[in-house]
Amino acid sequence: MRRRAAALALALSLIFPVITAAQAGTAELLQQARQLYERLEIERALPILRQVVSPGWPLEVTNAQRVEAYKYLGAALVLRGKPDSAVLYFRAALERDAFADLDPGQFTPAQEAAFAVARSRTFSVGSQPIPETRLDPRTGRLTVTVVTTHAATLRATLRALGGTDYVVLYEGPNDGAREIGWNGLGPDGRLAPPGRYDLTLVGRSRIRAQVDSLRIYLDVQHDVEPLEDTLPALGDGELVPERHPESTAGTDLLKGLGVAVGALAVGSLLANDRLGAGREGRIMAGVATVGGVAAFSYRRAHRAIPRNVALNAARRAARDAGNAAIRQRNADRIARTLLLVTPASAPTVRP
Amino acid sequence: MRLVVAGLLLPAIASAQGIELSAVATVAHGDHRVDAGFGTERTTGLLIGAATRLRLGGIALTLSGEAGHLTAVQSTGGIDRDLSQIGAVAQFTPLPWLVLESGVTLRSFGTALARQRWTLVRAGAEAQVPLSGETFWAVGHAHLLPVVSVNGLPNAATAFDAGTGLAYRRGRLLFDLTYTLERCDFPSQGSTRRSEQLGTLALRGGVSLRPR
Repeated sequence: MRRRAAALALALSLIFPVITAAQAGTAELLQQARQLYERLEIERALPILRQVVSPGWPLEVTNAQRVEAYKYLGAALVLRGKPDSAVLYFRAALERDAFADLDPGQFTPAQEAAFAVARSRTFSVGSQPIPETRLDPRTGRLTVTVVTTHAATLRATLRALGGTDYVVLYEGPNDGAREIGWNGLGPDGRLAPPGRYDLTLVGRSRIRAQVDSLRIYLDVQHDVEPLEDTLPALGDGELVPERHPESTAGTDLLKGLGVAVGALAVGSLLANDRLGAGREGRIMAGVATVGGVAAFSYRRAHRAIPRNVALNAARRAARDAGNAAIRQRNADRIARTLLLVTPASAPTVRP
Repeated sequence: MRLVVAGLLLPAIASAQGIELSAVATVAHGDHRVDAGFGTERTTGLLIGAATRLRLGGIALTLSGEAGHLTAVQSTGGIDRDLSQIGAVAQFTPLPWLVLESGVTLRSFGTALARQRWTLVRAGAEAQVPLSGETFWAVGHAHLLPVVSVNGLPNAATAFDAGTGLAYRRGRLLFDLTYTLERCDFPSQGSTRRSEQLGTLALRGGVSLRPR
């Protein structure tokens, strides 16, 4: 185990110095070239800069390093009186980075003039990386800085990957850098659904017959508070019967007849044999029989239980009101949805 | 003055505290029969009265009073008499359909010849089941009368009452029609044994201060 760890450490110690040396090598070389340039030792600076941009250069060169090398190459050649070659190198810098520019404090007007010529001869659109943004569609905007190297017509559109509808973020003339914004809404005016989107920039030069385009991918996620579940439908245990069963009418008739039989029984069985009983019991029996028949008929025609119907209606209304409130709260939460915009892992694409 | 104030305030108190107070008027047809060893004497007539009931939860107290003139039925050898009675009944409702009750009735039979006073103590139950929804009810009741004291007579040996009826309750309105047979058998004295029986078919109607 200890041996394996030691072997791993040795391997890492062998690999990392190479990588850092490679990066440090390009950076140190560029630094050295810059210092030579600033001391006006142009003849010594030029070979170093050419070495950096040479395809045969064995060490890693980042795009920014390459763009800087081209800029210094162009600047050095202007000082050597070779403006045409300088323009070529400036164009190479602009082709790789449309945002490339010369700092007026560091470079001469002649160099800036050559760079301007390079700009006019090169057409390229570019974009800054999309910043990770937490976007509130009600108040905020996603801002992206785009650029064209010279006067052009620029069109910036955003669409869901695989979709056909798009939102036009900008369409019009442009020269140089410009900020374009997105309010988080899709083509239908609603909150953009989560997913991957592509931001397409298409530029048409107004000076030259050139078109350049760029596609940048971004991911959109919704950040919404958890939604509440609506109340479940009322079960059998929560509702009371709204109708009497069919047997109720018969039961009511039997109850009426029971009262009648009871009245007759009281008048005959419980009365003193010697005293007998009057007609009151028979009258009561008759009334009870009529009442039983009436109850039977009424119940056959009216099986609804109004009190239970009202009770169930009140329970349903309470549930509906609860659900309406939940839906409203959920709608409010959805309305407060934030968009999390992140640059997609897919690289910027030049079609 | 205090009684007047109490009478005015009682409905408000009843509403506020969930007390139910009801009052009913009674019209009854009475059929009184007596056999004292000389054949059956029978008198019938209308009784008019009123009752009030105060209920608090499952406990209630009813006070009632009736009076009327019973006319002798020809060919039975009786004589006319006036009946008046007051009663108090305490009720307890252990189940929605069952009322246990106990009470006392003071009754007076007055004739041209004499006045007879009765004291009846009763205990029993009343059952009520809905006949159609909760508007019409079928009612049955039965009581034992363990104490029936009559001046000039020994206490009754066997006494009970039973009956059935229909009741209508809707909102504040209360109506019921009840048939009751009250029977008292007195101990034998020599060769005679006195029996008395009062059958009534009573129609009551009134209002409740709290809808049921």
